[in-house]
Amino acid sequence: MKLKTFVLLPLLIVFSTLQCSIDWLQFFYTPYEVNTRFKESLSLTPPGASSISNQNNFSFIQVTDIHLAEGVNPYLSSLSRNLISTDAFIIPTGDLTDYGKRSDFIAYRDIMNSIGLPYFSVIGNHDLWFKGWDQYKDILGPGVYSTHAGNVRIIVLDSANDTLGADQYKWLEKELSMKIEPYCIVASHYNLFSPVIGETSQSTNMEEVYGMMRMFEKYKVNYVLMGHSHIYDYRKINGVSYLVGPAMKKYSANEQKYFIRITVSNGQMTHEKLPLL
Amino acid sequence: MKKFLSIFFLIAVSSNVFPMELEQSFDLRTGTEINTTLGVRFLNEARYELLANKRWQFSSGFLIAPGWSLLSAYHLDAGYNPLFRPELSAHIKFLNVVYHDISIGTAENSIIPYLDWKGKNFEADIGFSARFTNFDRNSLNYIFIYPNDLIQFHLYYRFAAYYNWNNPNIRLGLELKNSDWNYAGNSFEISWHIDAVYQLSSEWALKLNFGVTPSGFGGISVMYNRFVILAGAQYRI
Repeated sequence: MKLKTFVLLPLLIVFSTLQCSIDWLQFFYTPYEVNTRFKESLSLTPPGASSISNQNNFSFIQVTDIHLAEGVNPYLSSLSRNLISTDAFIIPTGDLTDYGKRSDFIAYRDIMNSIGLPYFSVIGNHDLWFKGWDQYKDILGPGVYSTHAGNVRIIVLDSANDTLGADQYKWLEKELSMKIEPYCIVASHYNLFSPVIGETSQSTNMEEVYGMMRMFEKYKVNYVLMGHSHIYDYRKINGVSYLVGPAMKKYSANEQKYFIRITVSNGQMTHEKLPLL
Repeated sequence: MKKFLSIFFLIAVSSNVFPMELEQSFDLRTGTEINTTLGVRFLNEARYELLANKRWQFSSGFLIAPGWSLLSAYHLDAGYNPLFRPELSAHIKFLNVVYHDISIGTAENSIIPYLDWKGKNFEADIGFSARFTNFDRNSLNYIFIYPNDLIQFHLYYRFAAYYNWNNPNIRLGLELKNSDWNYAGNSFEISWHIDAVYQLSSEWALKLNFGVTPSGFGGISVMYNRFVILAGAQYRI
C-alpha cells in the first residue's frame, strides 16, 4: 500500500501539472539563460524613444502579469477605456504570455499596438517557457534595453531567470551612471521582496538585490516597477519607490482587476492603484 | 569573534561551578563559493556546539568570507530536547549576516524559531525566519537590532537523508535546504547538497560538502549560478 502511494502520488502530481502545461524542463534547465539573452538583446533594436508633449505634467501606466493564453485577455483589451489624456506610455512588467507561444506574443503586440501609446515590454519567467525567447526576441525585440520617454529614463531589465547575470549587472550600473534625464524608472519582472507572510515568489539572491538597491539609491531612481508575485506591494526604501503591480491574469469571469498610473506633476512622481473599468 | 569566545568562556566556567554532563563539539571548515553573477569568495567558518545534561542545546559560530566582497556572519542558537520524542528538539536562533562591501553595505538580522528532528538516517529542521534588513551602515554588526525598513518572513528548512556506504565510518548524505549555520535564505532559495563524513575516530571526523543553488526555481526558469564546496573537520569531547 505504501509503495503504491509513493509511486502513484508523484505520478498524479506530474500528470496534473502536465494538464497545466508547465514547462517541466525549466525546473532543471533554461535553454537560453540570462547571459545569452543579454548578449543577444544588445544586438536587437529596442523600442524607439518617445516624446511627451508636456514634460512637467504627464502620467504613464504599469500593467503586469497579463499571462495571455490563446490570444485572449479581456482586461488588457479593455485598458484603452481607462486611459486619460496625460497618459504618455505603458510599461507591462513581464509574464506577457502564459506559455511563451508565438501566437500569444503576436496577440499581445497587436493589442498593445491597438491602444496607440508607446509601450516598453519586460520579459518574465513565463515568457521563457517552451523556448519562448525565440518568439519574444523575434516579435518584441530585446529583453534588456535603456531608452527614454521625454524626460524619463527607462531601463528595462531581464530578470526572468531570477538573476541579472554578471554582464547585465555591470551594464545596469553603467546605464544608471550615464543617465541625464531628471526622472528614472527601472522595470523588471521578479519582485525583489516578499510582499506578505507565506509568499514564496521573489528574487532569491538577496546579496544581488541589496547591490541593486544601493545602485538605485546612488543614482536616484524614482520607481522600480515589478510584477511576478501577482500581489500589489509598495514600499519606499532610502528614497526609492519599489512597486509590484497587481496581476492582470484572468483567473475567472468578472474579476475586478487593477492597473497602476504613475503621475509626474510639479517635479514629484506619485502613483495610484486604479480599478480597471 | 569576541562574542563567540566570551560565550565559550562563560560555558566553560559555569560547567565547573554547576556540575553538568556536557557533550561538546567543534567544527572548522573552509571552502569556496562561486556566484556567477557577483564573483568568488572564500568561506571560513567555525562552530561550537554544546549539549548539557542531554537536554539543553547551545551552539554559536561565525563566518568570515573575503572575496568579491567581504561577508561576515555569526549566530546564537539555543535548543531544548526532547520535545515529545527523543528525536525532536525546539530551537530559537539569532543570526546576523553582514555584506560589508561599500556597494552593498547591508545587514540582515533574523529571529528563527524552528524544530529539529534527528533520526538515524534522516534529519530535518523546519521553522520560519523573521528577517530584518538593516541599511544603516553604522550598526551592521549588531545582532539584536531590528529595524523596520524591510521585514520579511520566510520558511526555514533543511532536510537530509544519510546512507552508510559499505563502511560504518563513511556516511553520505543528500541535503535539500535554504539554510546553513550562518545563513537563512528565502523560502524558495532551494539548495541541493551532497554531504560526506568520514569518521576517523570517536573524536575526529572529516567532512566534505558540495552544493548548488539554482536561481529561478520558484518561477520554473532555473539557471545554475551559485556553487559551494566546503571541507572541514569536527572534534568531539
